[in-house]
Amino acid sequence: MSLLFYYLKLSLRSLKQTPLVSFLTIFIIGLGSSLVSVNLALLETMYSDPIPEKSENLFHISLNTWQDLTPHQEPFYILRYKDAMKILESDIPKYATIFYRSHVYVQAPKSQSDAMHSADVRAFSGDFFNLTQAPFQWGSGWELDDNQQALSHHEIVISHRLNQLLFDGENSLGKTLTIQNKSYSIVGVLKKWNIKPRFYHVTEGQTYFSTEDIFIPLETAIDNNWIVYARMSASDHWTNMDDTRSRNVFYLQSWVQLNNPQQRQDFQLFLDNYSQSLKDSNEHPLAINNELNDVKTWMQINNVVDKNIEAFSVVTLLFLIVCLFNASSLLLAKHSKAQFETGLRRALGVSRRQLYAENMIESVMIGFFSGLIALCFSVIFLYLIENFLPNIANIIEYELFKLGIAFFITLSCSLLIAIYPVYSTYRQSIALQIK
Amino acid sequence: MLKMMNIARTYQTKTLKTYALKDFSLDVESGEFVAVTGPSGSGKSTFLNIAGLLDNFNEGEYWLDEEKMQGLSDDTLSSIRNQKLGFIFQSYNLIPDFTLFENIEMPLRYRKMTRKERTIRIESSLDKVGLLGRSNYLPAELSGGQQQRVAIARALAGTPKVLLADEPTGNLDSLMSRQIMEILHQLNDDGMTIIMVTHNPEQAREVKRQIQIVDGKIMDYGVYSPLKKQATV
Repeated sequence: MSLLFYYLKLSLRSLKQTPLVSFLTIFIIGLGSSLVSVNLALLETMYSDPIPEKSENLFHISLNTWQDLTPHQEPFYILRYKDAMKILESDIPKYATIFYRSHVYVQAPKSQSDAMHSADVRAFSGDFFNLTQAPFQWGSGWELDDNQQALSHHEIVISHRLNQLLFDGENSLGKTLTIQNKSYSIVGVLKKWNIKPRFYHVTEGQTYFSTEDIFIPLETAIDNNWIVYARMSASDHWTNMDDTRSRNVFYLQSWVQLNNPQQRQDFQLFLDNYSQSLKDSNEHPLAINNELNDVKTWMQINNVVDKNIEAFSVVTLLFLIVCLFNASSLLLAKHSKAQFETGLRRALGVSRRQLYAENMIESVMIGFFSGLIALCFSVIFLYLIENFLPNIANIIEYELFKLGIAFFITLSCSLLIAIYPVYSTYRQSIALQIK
Repeated sequence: MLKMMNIARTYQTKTLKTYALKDFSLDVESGEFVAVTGPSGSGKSTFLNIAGLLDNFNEGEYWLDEEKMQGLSDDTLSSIRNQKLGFIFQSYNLIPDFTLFENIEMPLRYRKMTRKERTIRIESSLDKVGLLGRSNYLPAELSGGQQQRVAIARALAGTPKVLLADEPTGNLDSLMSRQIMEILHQLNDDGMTIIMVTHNPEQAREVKRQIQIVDGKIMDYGVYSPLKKQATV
């Protein structure tokens, strides 16, 4: 232990002896490893399974029901109201949901100011909360059978964020919110829930948007003409959301949970039969081509992993290697300068092993300080991402584990760069070093 | 105490093989004070480096304190340097930003020794060279002679079997040289084995045994004479 403290003392002294070289070494490693760490954190989130418990059992539905021979896409990932409703009728899936994304301004409760708050909305029908495993803090959602009741009562579920914003995080069950001059009663409040990637809506570049602030029954949203904030395609003319119930307007996405291959096969047959029945009644002329894609496949199809980020990661890795070469050169110069003292200490009986241990402590120290610099840079990079790359701003949360990884990278780098300078110094004969 | 048999040290380039020492044999008894002289480039420093385990040799055998110094690991060699050998260099070789205490303490830190034990040894060795009370000074605050005395104290603190001195008065004026030589003689009188490389014939003459190296070989082995110093003083 005493020797360890002595090594620490000598390492600090060594850093102080060459302040500029030490600072540059620490700075370079910190810069390079922070860039790599931030990118790895981005990639890790992009590649991660957002719902590992059942990602293999959740399926996105694409149907081929466009009315003429000029479909935008075959099969189409957004559905008409009547096609979506047909899916909800099936009793094959354990859970099924249909939804669209909207956006509203929420008026603060009367006790507060008249300020309006921007809020993303998920309007859905079916078992959205069960399917996505949304965690509730208070209250609950509504079951499929309750949709009608929720509709008549204007019930909504709000996010943890909105509850914090409007009610200071207190239990807001039963309280009402005013949205577009109508009152909505809160029946559920979610815990913190920010699913990444947001697998249930990965199209239109919305993969990394935050989960929504308001969840509302689909029919309520349509009745109140809450506009779709996602892709819509129509072959019929329509003027308000109510028209979409009966016309050829494609805007709903649908997910189902199928717990085994038999269910999947049955449901595929169900979709194909439905599509065939439409074709038989001349509602569409297209081939029977309906798809069920599980979470991972659906994310792959929609390029959830940003190719630019992947390419940038390679660049940052190369940058780190250049940084390490530079840092290693600096250390080599530092060791060359200190060669006489090294030789003297060896002459007085300090073994190579002891000097290696001492250098390892110094490297750990450099790694520690580099880690602090890396943290500062990471914060800067995250700020830049937030401001210049809003599409992926929601991806990164710097958790303790990721911080640990960043520190591990920095530490490994600092040990790595010391290998050659230390080896080249200690392989020389002592007589030459102290000459 | 120190025995070299047919030692050779060569330096090889692509086309040339140069002998720094050739067929070099020497036997130094415990308690001897040996002065090694010879012209520049004769191999004095090479001999001292090999004796101090600071350099390798290509042929021959070297025994120190009845232990063969071949095929030993770096750890073992370091340990022998640390515990059995003491070094005094021409340019003192003190670490400039260490205090005198820290300079002397440095080789002791690598032994399993308590702080108290280290402190006792350091103060005792500083006392022997007349610098007790200055342990917190930096080397730059001392004269050349005082710095060399610190170097001697550093060597003494390790209680070595053999003290190797490489022109210990080479950078000092005559008065300071005299003081250093008196300390070395005193140590030898106390039983320390000393091998000193020197250019100064007067200093060589006043020690018990002189050997002369020319072209990597010993030309004059000298004679161990316990009475020599007394006769010359």
